Amino acid sequence: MEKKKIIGAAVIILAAVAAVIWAPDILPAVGDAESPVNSYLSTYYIENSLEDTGAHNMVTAVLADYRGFDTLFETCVMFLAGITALMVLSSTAKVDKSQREIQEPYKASFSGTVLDTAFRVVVPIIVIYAFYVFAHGETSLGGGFQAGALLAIAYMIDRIIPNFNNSLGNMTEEAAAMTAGVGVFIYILTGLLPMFNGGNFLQYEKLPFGAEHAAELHSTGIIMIEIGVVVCVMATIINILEVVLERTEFDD
Amino acid sequence: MISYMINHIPVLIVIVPLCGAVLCPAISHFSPSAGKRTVIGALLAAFCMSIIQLASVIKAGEAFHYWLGGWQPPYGIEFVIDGVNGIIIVLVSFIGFMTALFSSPFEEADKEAPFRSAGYYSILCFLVIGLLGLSSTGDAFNLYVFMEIVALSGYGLIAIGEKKGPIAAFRYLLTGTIGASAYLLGVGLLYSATGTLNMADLAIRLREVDNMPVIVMAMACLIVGFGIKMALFPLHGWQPAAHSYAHPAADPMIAGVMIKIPAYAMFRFFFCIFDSSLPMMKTIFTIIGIMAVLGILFGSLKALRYDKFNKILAYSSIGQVGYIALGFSIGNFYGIAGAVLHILSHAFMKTGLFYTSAAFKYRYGIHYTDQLGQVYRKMPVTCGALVVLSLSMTGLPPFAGFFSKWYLALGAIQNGQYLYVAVLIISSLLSAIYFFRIFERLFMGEKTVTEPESDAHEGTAPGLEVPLRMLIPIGFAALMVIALGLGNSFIVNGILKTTVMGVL
Repeated sequence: MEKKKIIGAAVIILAAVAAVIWAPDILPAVGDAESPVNSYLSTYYIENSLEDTGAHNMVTAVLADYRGFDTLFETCVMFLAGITALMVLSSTAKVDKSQREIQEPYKASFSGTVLDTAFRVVVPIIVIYAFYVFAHGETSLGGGFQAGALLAIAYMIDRIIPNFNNSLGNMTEEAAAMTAGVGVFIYILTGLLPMFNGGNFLQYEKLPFGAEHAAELHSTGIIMIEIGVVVCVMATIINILEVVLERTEFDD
Repeated sequence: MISYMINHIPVLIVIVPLCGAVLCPAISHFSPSAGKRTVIGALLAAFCMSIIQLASVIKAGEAFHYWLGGWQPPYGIEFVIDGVNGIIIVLVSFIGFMTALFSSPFEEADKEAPFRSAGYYSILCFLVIGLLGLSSTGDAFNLYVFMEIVALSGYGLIAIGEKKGPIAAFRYLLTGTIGASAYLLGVGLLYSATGTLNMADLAIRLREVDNMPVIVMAMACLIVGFGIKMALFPLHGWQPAAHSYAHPAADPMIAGVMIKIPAYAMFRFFFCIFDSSLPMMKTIFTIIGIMAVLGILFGSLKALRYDKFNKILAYSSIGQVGYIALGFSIGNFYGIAGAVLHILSHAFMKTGLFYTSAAFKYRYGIHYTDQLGQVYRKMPVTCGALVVLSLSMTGLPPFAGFFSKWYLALGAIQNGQYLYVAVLIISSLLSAIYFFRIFERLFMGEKTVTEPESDAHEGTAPGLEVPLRMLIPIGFAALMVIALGLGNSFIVNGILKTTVMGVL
């Protein structure tokens, strides 16, 4: 790039930095109880979220219930990222599978006791932990996104340690993208069900299941959307992994 | 039952295409062409629902509010549909449906690789969903989420385009991310001053904020954010390459609609949220006006330099987006009506011109205007549409382009801003030059193209220049430009007046 352009860009950046430094106090102090952020909506959420949503964690209550519609489209962003990666790289040729067979001398170095044991011990723990995070997601921080990532990690370990030859099964990139789509669809379905029962989109208390309290229905709704998020996130990470692995040559 | 469904229409317009988009890959696994039919059908359903919605909004005479999750705003998210965004949603869903139809010959379902067309349709459908949500939402953060959906699908559709597509997409990715961050920063500043994200609530609570630096800084961030997204000069750097090298069939949607909806969002922020009686609003509008004037002149002049059809159209878009921003900076009823009318008319004009460009590529592989010689003999309908759309772009009555410029000029005269009138006239003359150069090549140039091998367009029925699925969108774009031109007073007085007068 020409020197002039760099100087121009530098001047703009410096001016912006200077403006930020010399700007008067525009943001409220951290922890200021009187600031608008801490005294308006937050008060409502703190006082009512447990009663409204049955979620013990306020972050989960806002994320999955009050603003569940945003989370639906954040999940869509995951799906879209996976399918875009697939489409962009689809013009690049895949590596010939026969080329990827591990050579005999290398095979020995991947069949060591350490890797074998690590795999046998680590993967089950990760999977159990993923289910814990998912099932606990409604009452504590976390939930679908993390559980999906953990499940994907279990698959990833299996996939990139060559010796195991995909003992968990091998997902093709297309299958992964389809699964991600189905995951988002589970989320949408959770939103559509209340509409057949006189509610609005994603209004969990109108879910057509019998329950004594509205809070139970909210918990059910949150668990249902979390299932969708888990499936979508797991499948998207596998999708991107497969898209790249299929086109990478291994020589060790 | 019907009235019950009408209550849910605002969200169904977004959710029905969303179901199509996420299920498209799975469906096409079982039947290669069913996936794309699902998407086209879902977009058609969204278009029908958007018409019903607009009709009932006009009939009711007041805005629709839809509470997502049943939460009362500002605690939850709401969709707000009034006259202005009702008509913009009709526009987006109509062009989305037409573009999906138009893409069909480019992405024929292939039994060997069924995923290629399914993936394309899924991403295209997400672009439409993002734009629909962007126009419907009444929540500042929800708007950001939809902006991300639009941007991400835009990156994908540009990257799977022509050979230079990935580079153009990467450039857009870097610039677009800065734009989205600037928008988020602006919303964050507003949130810190008011503690709310709902737009109607923001408008009320901002009246009581006396911390002016926050508002000024938020406005600066929002201008940069929306400016990058709508390719307003001097923030247009990503736009020419992205519009020239995107997937030819998705290009009409990207060039025609994707840069207009952020302009509408800008209108919402600067007229519905910020207090327009604030003293510094005048300065802000002057700054937007300067950017608009420079953009109009720059885009028109730059378009003269190129021989590549798509590049000419892309640079002309920079100028045309300038018109919309100019309308906002004029800021009276005629200015805003002209700007909204220009969002509609330019969407049809630019989409139609990119349809014709894609049709030339499809039939003959034409990219440059000097290859167009005598093509009109072989493709009369396409070239007829090209002439209508170009004349509308230069601002000849009775086409739509004339009337939006007319309202802009009326607004500028009412405010005594004669410089803006002069700029409008100069840029119309410049655009006449570059469009008449295309006509000259088309009608008087030497014949250069030869008939391609027969397999290049096997989907074409005998006697047709391009497949019917492409001819219908081209014809509709030209017809809509004429219809908008003739029906402009109904749109301005019947639909826009109540809403726009309400915010002024």
